[in-house]
Amino acid sequence: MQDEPGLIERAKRKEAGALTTLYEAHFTRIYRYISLRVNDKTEAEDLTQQVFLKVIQSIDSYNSRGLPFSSWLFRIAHNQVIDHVRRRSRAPQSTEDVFELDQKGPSLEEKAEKKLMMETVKAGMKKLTPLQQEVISLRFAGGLSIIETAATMRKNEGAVKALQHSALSSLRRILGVPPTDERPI
Amino acid sequence: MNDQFEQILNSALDRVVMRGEPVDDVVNEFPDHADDLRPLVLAALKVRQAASQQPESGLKSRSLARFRSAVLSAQPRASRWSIPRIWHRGWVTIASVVVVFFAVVGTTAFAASGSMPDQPLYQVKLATEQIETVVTASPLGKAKVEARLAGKRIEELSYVIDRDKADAAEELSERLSSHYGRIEHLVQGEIESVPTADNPSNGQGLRPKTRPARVIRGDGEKAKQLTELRKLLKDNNPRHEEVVRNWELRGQGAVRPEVRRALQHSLKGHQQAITAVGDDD
Repeated sequence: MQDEPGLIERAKRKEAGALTTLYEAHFTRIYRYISLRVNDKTEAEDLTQQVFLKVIQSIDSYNSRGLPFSSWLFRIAHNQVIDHVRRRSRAPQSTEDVFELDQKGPSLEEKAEKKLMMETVKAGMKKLTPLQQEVISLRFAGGLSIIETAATMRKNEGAVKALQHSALSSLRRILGVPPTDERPI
Repeated sequence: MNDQFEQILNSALDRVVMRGEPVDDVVNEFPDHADDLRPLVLAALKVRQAASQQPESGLKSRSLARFRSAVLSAQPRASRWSIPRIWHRGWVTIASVVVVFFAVVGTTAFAASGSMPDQPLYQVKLATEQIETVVTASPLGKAKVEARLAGKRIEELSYVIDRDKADAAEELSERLSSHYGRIEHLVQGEIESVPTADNPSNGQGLRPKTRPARVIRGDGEKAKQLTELRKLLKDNNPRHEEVVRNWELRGQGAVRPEVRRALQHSLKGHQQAITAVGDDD
């Protein structure tokens, strides 16, 4: 993003244009990250909105010398997800995954296939350790680099690479990815 | 050895999953590790694909309207209005509000009150409206002002659509969405969703999920204001729908889809504000 530090300084002064630019730049990545961590589409939408409300409230406390902005943002998203999971664990809940198919776009068959794959991957993710889930979600749903992931998780890069390796090894076994499958998915 | 493989794996993941290079091209660059590398990269691709769904088409814009509304609420008044700090204190504030009120009401504001977006006094009309929202103290009072202003925007929308002014129609639709976003935001502190079996939330979410909301705090005055707010919103709704229909009938939707989207979005915002305010018990 162009001149992110300048943008953040303006956002700290609560300038609407700067805050909106940050929102637009990060909305989809945060939504995808949260969608992979929660079962319900409505909850994913609400949590994504809450992340950005939190940004408005607490951007004053962001210090660019501490960690990249995207890492700070994903830490907020991570905390929202953890709070949400805690609340859900105390409340009666449905085990059904309620991500609905979009009304527009690919054919019904393709959508059904995609939904099935999404459910399979999410079910597989749940069998990983919390740290493994986090590294996979940040890297492949949030699209963070290894440096940003390390900053978000407050770990060093070597530890994150090792976690990434162990997580993908487990996930590969859980999802039954054959070693000889040469077709890109 | 493990460190070296983790380095190779990370580089392969960056290239395949993040940058979209073909799996075979990347994996075959590491023949000694290809058998181990391929299934891990494919597993990561599956996660990427599962997470690649786009947010529902309306979500981002709907959510953006609420975000903008929250940004407006968070802005310190001094920066929003560029008023020197001393003016926010004691008698200076009261005196200045009275002076501004009489000056505006007595002269220009009256002349501007009926102006339309293509007329010279329109900006004065908007400024007067802003003063009206600032001097109204209670959240429900502000929400009622916003609802009345939304009614004015609908009249203006009708005016510009009759004159085929697409840019003005788009801008007014966005203003309209902002009014409804602010109404939703303002009533949130006054009402709370009724918890239901399928919606155990305590109403802290930004969006009322399903059921109508009801007053759970406050006194009879608040209930009365909420009823008036409901009436304002509901009275405006048929006119708003008619204006959107009129745009469609004029066949402009196909020419300027962004205006159509903005109009539909404002209509959706209107309906969400009605839902947020809830029905009379």
